[in-house]
Amino acid sequence: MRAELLKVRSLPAPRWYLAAVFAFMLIGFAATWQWGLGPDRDAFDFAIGFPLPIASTVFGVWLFGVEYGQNTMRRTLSADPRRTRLLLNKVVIGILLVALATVLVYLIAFPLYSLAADQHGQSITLTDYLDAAIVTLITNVSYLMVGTAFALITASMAGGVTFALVFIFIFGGLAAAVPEIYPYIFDAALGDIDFAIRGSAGGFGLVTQENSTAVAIVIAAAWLLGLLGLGWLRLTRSDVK
Amino acid sequence: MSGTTLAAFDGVSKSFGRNVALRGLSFGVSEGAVCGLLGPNGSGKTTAIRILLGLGRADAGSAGLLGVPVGGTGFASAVRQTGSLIEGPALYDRASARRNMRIQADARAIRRPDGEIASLLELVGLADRADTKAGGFSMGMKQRLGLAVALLGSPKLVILDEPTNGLDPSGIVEIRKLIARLPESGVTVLVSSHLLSEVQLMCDRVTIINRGELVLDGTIAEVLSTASGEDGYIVGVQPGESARATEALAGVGLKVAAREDGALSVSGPIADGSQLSCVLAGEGIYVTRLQTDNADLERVFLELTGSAESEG
Repeated sequence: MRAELLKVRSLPAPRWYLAAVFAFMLIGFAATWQWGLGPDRDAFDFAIGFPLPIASTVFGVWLFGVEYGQNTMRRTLSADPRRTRLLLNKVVIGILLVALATVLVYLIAFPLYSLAADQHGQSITLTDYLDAAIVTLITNVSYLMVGTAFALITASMAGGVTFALVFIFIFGGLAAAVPEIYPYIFDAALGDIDFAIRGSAGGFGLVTQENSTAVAIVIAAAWLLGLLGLGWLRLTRSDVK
Repeated sequence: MSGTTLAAFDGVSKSFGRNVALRGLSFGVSEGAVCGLLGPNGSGKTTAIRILLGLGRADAGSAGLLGVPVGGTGFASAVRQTGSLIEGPALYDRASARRNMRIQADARAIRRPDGEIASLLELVGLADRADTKAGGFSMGMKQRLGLAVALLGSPKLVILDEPTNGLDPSGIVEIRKLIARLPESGVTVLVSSHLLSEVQLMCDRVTIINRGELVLDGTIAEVLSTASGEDGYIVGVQPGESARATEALAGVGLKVAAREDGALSVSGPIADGSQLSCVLAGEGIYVTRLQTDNADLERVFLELTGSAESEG
């Protein structure tokens, strides 16, 4: 696992992701300072809740995509051929780092946005912050796994990013056109979980309110396990170039 | 072969769609040997190496690494005791040389590798560039680093696919000497290279495969003994004088054959090169080129594979 951490530390991509996330946070802070939070804390949701999940998705793709892109997979597996273990190591490292980044961003955002909102006589309670942080954490970890899964399924950085973003931003929207299946779509499940936590959906998912929270969790978990399972099959059954 | 077989192929076959890469390949690498794996482009050398390391799956047959079946119980441990450099060094370009080695050391669960990393970087001449990012290295430097990574953890077996790629002539000699010394520290080597003269100098055994099949496997002496023709000389003369030169040399009982490059291949009871020069000078023919033409790996390789290309 330490080797995987060293790989993350060696490469600039995660640092750029983090820099972009903090840049968005500061832009949101400036906007809140100038104009207030907006209806339904839009400035806050957009500046914090939007870039982190995208960065998490790309980071999830990167975990394996960089190995395929640099042709280092053969070196990685000729050091330790246990492919399932490699997948678990990378996912665990990814989840830990994404969780750390999420907590860090919310810890910094809390005083900043409270101060900015106060300029306009608005307030965000600690409960609001915690609820938003939990929802973002769930979203980030989920999207990280989606990214990892698509990087494995496509065995490619570019393919992984493309399919992951299409899955997250387009697939759910298209599925919404078919009401019978939409409640079973990953997007809807995340939206329902978001709603269950915050009482409103400020994240990516659309709320169906048709599923109980438990069902929504099961649907989301099934999607993640299914996608990762496909990725695992590709990883363990394919020849490595 | 004698001793424990550290790398073994037993009837291994592998296809990629309609393209058959390996056809029932069987051979082994004994402990302590430096074995050269030769074959023309597309002959299946890299496919065989990949299967040995578990990077690819055999369609039929079996392979074993350090006495363990590929993919079987204990295979992970066998891989960790095997260093490899396959199709280029495969480095993390944004990581320094030292960090690249550290990543590999951690992946192979090598404890406290700092001292070994430093000495290996010294060995391959990269000690002063240890903290430079690998992406900034020349091909030769990357290859050296790849070799250092392969030697991490005192492996029992080192598998090198074209280890001298990108190296300058002095680098090739250094790497050849380094590889030839590895058995002294108990390391067995399987090396694939297109530099046949280098293979002849560094290896004690050679395995030649062609179109996925074993063609020949033996010690260097055994392989060279299969060469057809006799040792002799290559003689060059002025264009237009080949026929007269052939007649003159044949006239003193020597066998003469025309070569594709226009020179003559001469064999028979020749004391030394001056004898040929003297015969030709007597006919007023001046020698423009005179070199020995002894059986070497290149000749054997070309005869066995029927290929003008040496390797890939």
